[in-house]
Amino acid sequence: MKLLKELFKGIWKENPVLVLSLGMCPSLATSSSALNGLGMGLATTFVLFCSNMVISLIRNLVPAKIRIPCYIVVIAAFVTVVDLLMQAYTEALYNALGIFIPLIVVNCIVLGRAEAFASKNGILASAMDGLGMGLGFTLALTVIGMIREFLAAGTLFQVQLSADWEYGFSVMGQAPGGFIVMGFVLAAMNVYNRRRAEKAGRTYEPPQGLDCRHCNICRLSETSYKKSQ
Amino acid sequence: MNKNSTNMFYLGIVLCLVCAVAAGIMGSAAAFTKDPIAQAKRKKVADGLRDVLPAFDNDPMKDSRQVGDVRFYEAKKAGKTVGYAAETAVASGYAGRIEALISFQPDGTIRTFIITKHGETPGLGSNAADRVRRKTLAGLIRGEKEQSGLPPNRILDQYSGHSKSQKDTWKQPWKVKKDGGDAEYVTGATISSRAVNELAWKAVCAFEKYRQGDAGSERMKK
Repeated sequence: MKLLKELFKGIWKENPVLVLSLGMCPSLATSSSALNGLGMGLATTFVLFCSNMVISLIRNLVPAKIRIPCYIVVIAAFVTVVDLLMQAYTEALYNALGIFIPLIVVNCIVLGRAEAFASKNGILASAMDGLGMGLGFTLALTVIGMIREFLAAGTLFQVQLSADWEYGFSVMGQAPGGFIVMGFVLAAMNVYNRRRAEKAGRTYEPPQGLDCRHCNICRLSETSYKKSQ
Repeated sequence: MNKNSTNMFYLGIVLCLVCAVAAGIMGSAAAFTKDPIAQAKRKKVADGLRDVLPAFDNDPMKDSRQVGDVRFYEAKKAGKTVGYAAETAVASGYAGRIEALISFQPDGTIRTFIITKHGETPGLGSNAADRVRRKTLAGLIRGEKEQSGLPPNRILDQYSGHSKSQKDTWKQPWKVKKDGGDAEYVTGATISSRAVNELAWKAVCAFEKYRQGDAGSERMKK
C-alpha cells in the first residue's frame, strides 16, 4: 500500500514538472511535439527507475560529503550504458530518441530524486518513486507537447486533425512557446489544487519536495545535511 | 565505510573507487556493443542506399570510394551502372552537423536527396530536411493506406535533375535565393536551407572529381 502511494504521488500530487517545478530545461526543450515529449519521458523514466535503485543500494556506503558527485557518476554511467545499448540493439528507437538520451544526465529530476528520496529510503520504495516520478514527467511532457504541437502545426502525434490546416502558430513549437504553454499549464494546475483544497476547507500548500524552499543540494555543509535527514 | 568522514584523503579514495567502477562498467559496455553498433550503422547506410538508388543487384557497400570526405557508392544491375550515391556531411546546420545521402543518375544529374541525420529545429529547420508524409485524421478514419516510396520535400526535391555541367540552368556555385542564387529556401530557416544547399553543392563538386578519377583509373587499366 505504501509502495503504491510512492508510485502514484509522482504522477499527480507531486508531479515533478507541474508541482515540484523540477527539470524545467529538458521539459521546455523536448516538449515541442507530443511524440518527442513521450519519448523523452519514457527514456527518463527508465534511467530514473534504475538510478534510484542503485543509489538506494549504495546510500549507506558513500560518505555524505561526496554523495552528489557519486550520484552524478552513477546517473551518467547509466545514461551512457542505455545510450550504447539502444544504439546497438534498438536502432529505430535510437533514431527517434537518441538526441534526448545525453540530456537525461543533466535532468535535475534524476539527481533531485536521488538526493531527496533514494538516499533516504529502501530499494523498493526508491524504485517505485523513480517509476512514479518518471511517469509523472512523461505525462506532463506529453500533455504540454500535445498542446504545443496542436497550436504550432495543427497536428497531434503527427496526425493532422483537419485536412486543410494551413496556418501554424509556429512560435509555439519553439522555446518561447514552451515557456508560455508551461506557464498556463502550471497556473491551471495551481488553480485546480487550490480550489480543491478550499472546498475541503484547507489552505493549499505545495508538497515539500525538492523545490527551492526545501532543496539542500546547494547547502553542502554537513550540518544542514544532517538536519534535513 | 565511515559515512560522516571529512578526511580529504579518504574522500578522494572513495570517489576514485566509485569512478573506477563506473568507468569499468561503461568501458565494458562500450566494448560489448562496439560490433553491434558498427553493424547497425552499416545497415542504416544500406537501407538509405536502397531508398535513393534505383534497383540494383551488386553490393554498393563494396563498390565504394572516398573523394575528400565524401564517400561514393556505385550501384550496378546486370553489370551495368545504374546510379551513384554520395554520402556526405556538413557542419553548418543550425544545430551543427547534417548528414546526407545524394544519388546521381549515370549522366551526372542529381536523382534523390535525403538527409540521414540532423538536429534542426522541429517544425522550422526540419522542414528543409525531413521527408514526412502528412497523415490526416480523416484519412486515418477512412483507412487510407500509406503510399510507398519516399515522401516529397520541396526543398530537397528541387535539386533533382540538376548537375554541375555547363548546360545546367542554375548559377554556379549554387546558392539559396536569399543569397542571390536559384535554390528555394524555407522562410525563417535560412541557415538550415543554406546547409542543405551546401550539401548538394559539395556532393556535385565531389562527384565531378569522382568521375574524373574513374576515367583516370580506367585509362590506367588499358
